[in-house]
Amino acid sequence: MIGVSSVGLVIGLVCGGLALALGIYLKQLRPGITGFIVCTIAGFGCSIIGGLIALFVMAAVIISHAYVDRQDPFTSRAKLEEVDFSETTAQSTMRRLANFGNTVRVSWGALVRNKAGFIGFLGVTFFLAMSAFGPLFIEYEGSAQFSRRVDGARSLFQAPSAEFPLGLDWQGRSVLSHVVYGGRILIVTSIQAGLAATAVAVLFGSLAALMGGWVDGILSALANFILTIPQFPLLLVLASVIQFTDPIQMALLFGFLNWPTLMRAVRAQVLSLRERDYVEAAFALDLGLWHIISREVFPNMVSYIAVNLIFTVRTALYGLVALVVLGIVPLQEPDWGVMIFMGRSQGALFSQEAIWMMLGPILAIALFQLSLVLFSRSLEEVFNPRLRSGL
Amino acid sequence: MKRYIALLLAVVMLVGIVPVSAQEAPEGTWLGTWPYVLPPEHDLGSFTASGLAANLGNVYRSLVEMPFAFYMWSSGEYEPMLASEWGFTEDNTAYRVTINADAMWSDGSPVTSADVLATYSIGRIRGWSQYNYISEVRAIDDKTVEFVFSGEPSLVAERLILKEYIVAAANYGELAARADEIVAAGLTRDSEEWAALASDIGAFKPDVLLASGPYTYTLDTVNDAFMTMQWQPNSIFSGSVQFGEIKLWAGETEVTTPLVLSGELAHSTNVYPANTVTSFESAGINLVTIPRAYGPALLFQHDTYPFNIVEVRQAMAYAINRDENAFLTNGIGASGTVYMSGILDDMVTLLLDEETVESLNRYEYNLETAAGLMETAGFTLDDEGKWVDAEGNRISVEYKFPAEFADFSGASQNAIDQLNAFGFDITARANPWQEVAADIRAGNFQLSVWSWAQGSPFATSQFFGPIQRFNYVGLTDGQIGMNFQMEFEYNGEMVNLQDMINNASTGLDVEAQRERAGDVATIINDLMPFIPLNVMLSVEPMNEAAIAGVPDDSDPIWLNPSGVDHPIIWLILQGTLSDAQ
Amino acid sequence: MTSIPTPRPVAAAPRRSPGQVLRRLWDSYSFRVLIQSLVTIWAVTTFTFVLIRLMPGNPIQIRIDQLMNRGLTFEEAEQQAANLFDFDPDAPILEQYVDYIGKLARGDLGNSILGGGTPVNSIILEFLPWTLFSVGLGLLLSFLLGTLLGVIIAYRRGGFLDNFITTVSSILYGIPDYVIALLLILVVGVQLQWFQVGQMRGAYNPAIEPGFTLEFIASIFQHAILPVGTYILSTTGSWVLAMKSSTLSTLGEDFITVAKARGLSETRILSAYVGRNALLPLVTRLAISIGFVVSGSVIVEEFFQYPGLGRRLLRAITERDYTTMQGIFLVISISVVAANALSDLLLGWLDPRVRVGKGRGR
Repeated sequence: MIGVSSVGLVIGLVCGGLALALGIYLKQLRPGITGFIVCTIAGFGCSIIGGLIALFVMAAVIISHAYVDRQDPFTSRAKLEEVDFSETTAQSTMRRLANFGNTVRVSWGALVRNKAGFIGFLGVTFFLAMSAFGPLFIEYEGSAQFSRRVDGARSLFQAPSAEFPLGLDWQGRSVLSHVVYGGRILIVTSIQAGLAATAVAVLFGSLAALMGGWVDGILSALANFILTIPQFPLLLVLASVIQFTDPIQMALLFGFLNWPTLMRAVRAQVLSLRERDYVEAAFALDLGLWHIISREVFPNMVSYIAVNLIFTVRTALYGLVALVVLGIVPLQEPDWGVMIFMGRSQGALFSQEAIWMMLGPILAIALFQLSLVLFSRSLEEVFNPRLRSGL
Repeated sequence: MKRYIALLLAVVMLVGIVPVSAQEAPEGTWLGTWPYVLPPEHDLGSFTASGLAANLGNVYRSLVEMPFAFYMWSSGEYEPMLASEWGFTEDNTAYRVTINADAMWSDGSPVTSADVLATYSIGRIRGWSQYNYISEVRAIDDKTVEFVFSGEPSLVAERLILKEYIVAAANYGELAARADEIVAAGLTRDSEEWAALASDIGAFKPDVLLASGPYTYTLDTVNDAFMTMQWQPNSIFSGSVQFGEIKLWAGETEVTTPLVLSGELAHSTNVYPANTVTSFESAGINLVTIPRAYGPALLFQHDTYPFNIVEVRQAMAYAINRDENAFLTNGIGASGTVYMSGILDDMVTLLLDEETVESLNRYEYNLETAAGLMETAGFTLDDEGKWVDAEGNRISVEYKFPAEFADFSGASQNAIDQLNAFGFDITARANPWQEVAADIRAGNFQLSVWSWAQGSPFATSQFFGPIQRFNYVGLTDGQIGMNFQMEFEYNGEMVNLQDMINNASTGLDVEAQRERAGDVATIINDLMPFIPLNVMLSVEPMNEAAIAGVPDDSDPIWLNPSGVDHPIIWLILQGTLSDAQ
Repeated sequence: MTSIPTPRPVAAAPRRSPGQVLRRLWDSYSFRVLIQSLVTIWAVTTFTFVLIRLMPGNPIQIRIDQLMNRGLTFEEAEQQAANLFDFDPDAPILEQYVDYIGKLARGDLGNSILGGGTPVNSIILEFLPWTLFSVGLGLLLSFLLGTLLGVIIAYRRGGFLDNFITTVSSILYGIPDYVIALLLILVVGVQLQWFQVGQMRGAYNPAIEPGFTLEFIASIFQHAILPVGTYILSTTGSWVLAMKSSTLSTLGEDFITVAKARGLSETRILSAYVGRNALLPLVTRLAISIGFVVSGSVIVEEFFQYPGLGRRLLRAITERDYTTMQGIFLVISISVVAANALSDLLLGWLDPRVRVGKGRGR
């Protein structure tokens, strides 16, 4: 999911090219160029997923620059005779895209103005970029570097030097390379966990509220159950019984443990929406569950969902590292948690030249978590106009 | 207020000390460590899971519950502890031990034959391996016992007898009596009564620890940070020891490191990583190095192609630089295996005859020889420098190792690196150690790591792991482990390696034992059923600011390995070591 | 800045069905909370029962390995490791379940597999007080400190103090507790040497006679200072932020404006109106966060070698001592469920709106 590849570069260039072409076509050169840069980087860093998401967002932004709202004759810059009150699917899609692009632009503006939030955003971007593009600049050292042994030295640890900015670890490997490479699996797994939790929560929450009855009963009871049992001990116990072979299993486990909070919120939101006429109408018109979720529930809750997603990512990252540090799950290098575990067992805490093996991952985890918090807090403000206005 | 409390405390402590006045307790304090069981599970039982064995380890248990004798590895001689005389009877049908006339329990009662008999009655129920050699234990008089051999007399049996901890009949008499009844009634291991008694023995927790050694302790002194063993006046060694109390800090390596650095802990048997050892040195703490008598071995699952081909295994032995591997196992606390015979390098000259030692292939690091062997086995190098067989298959296998054992995982990762550089395609897989052990037993692995050899002066015992311990012959429930077939044709005749190992150290004829051990060593050396990567050393901090009288490095006592024959036991009992303050 | 906003449910009008006693009972808020907790506890017990029988590593084999690493031969180790279980793994599963629930109902958690027949109850009794003490103290102090600071900066909104405290709080809130613990060990333990981390292990200095003396109590606090410090550092931030946002939203409520208009004094408004109403949502969070901190204590206690239940649980897990693991997990779960129920009841008592909510949309 994260990591550079030549295929990713091609994808990025294609997506960027599309964005640029769109910009030129719509005579919006500056957004077009921005779109080209963003899409190329995202595609290069995160391959097809990153490229497509970036393309979608940037296309919406470019369109929003060019879009002239035909719907409302009073605010529209269009001439009255141009206004057509009937709307084709294409037009309506266009309008929605433009709306979305507008929201992105407004939010971006709010984000940039919010100092803490912007720092958080930069931090998150930095860690994502480090995981994605770090390998371009720094080579991973997986095997022990016996040749770096200083004559007569008892261990291969070395203090930071010009050649190795964060020193060498117990196997004589560059600590920097492990810091750069050690976050990728953690970050990807946490994001997967967050996405899984969000998907389950939105689905279950809507289902529970819309279906009611025993479905609601069971789902709510399940949510209540998961919410009440203490998470980390449960995680420890589960990890001792389940043999994890793949990080995706960990992601699913964290997803499974983290959906209830959001699910309850979604359920309450849908319940209150249900009382509103248009939803009841939509329901009566049999427009379907998916329609209601995607058109009514999701847009109304996007800020809450985004904040919750980040929260789950943080929880998952916390748990993942903790399990590794305690040695409960298989240790697979490179990984910040494994660095802390090995640092502890190799006595790195007690010597000046070795301490960087622990400080590196400790600072990385702390800073990444902190960036997530700052980012999510400002997201609330960005999405929530009431907070934005200062109250 | 505080002053009154301090005063009160002082009075309480004085009252506590006064009764012990018959003989003055020495003043010093030994500052050691052992990961004892924390209360409330901690108990004083000699046979319980969380009793003396777990709480004191081999080193400190010998200071409380003494065996008959102490073994010196440098000379091969026994030194007296609880016994004053010992030896085979003239007709070699039994082994006779005379208990020291002055030996007493901490309550002042003498140590007698009855205690030994009680110990062995319980041992029979516990399935002690002494009973593979002896049929019964009988008292000759109050202080003399005889162990009657069921078959051939044996030097292995001698060691087992002399190293066994003797417990007090005052505590264990009742259980021993029940054991005698069961045996007299002709009941066997599968009977319900036997199982019930075994379970009762495993659960019996005496209220008071009766010590034959110069130290004893009560549960009150056991805390989750440290426990304190007090000197007691009634032991043979009470007069010679120089420490009035032994303070043991709880915990393993990580926990004890800061204590060693701050001087709170004077000596420790923990395995410290190389880097920590350096920190100790720069903090001015001396180190002593003794053998650990085991090391990591590369295990093959012999059903896995191509490890069923002997040339491939030999090639792998040549392709690993074992000195490098040792350094990455535990820094200076390990050294590459020299003789590759399944016998500890230190012991090779003692346990094998010269001719055999000469003939052993030392598999000195040589990639060309290794490549030659691979080609003999039908492998060729492909474009990327990887070995492929006639069908073009690479040697793509998985290597499982215990993640949390820093030494074994270091050895494993380095072995994998070296083999991959040589042209293998091995993936590393680090798992919790319990899972690795279970997988090895189940045969659910391709390559793995576990220990080889152990701290016993007999070839039989050193050969045991891993070729018996993790092979179908040593496993239960149909587990296959390495599945190395022990019966095969070798040099034109059928051999049974299992029997050869079991018989390697029987009898009293040391020459014959050398010859038999030599046959086994030659086969292991040739077939390489496992690769003994290195032998570990125990680099133990010895803070001479706190301990005086530490013998210098050349002293033969340091040849004793850690474990039941740990040098510290003897040095404390003899009063060689004392408190430097 | 606020905590995550929870969309408030819309309370439905109470639906009375006279004559149906059960229905009425079910409509009772307290009763529902109680039943829900009981069901959760039952589910947890059943869950652990199933779990213990799904275990992958055989504890007997692990025990044999441990004994053999200690130098015993296989036969001896096997003999000693037998009889580890106090239940018969071959009995019919239903029978085992009934037996297990029966024992639990009598408060018997069984014997530790590896602890030589030590009852799990006594193990828990040994370790639980220290976790309760350290976690409770940490929670209490961070709650007091956090709410106090929160109110202050809400009143001084926008000032230097507000910015400073909010920033520090956000940072502390963001950093995982075990990272704080490691940094504490590193900074005050290894680098500055303010504390002898090695000697501060355990709950108190064993050289001091336990008793109700000043010296002993001082020792208890001294030994708890690092874990408690970690709890305070890692949780105060969230209290500050939550209290700040809660106070701010209370300040915006109509009744405050009315009170001000009535000319009530600042102090009176602060104590009688703002404080009380702003604290209300935090009281619930206090109870819920007990669960969070108990969970966090596993790793913090392990790092500081503090003899609490979390560290004991970890040991049980690494040793695959399933009965102990099960017992400790049960006790932790039950205490958290109880804390949750308590907070629900408390909230129902403090805020009548919740009581009539009938759990719909809760």
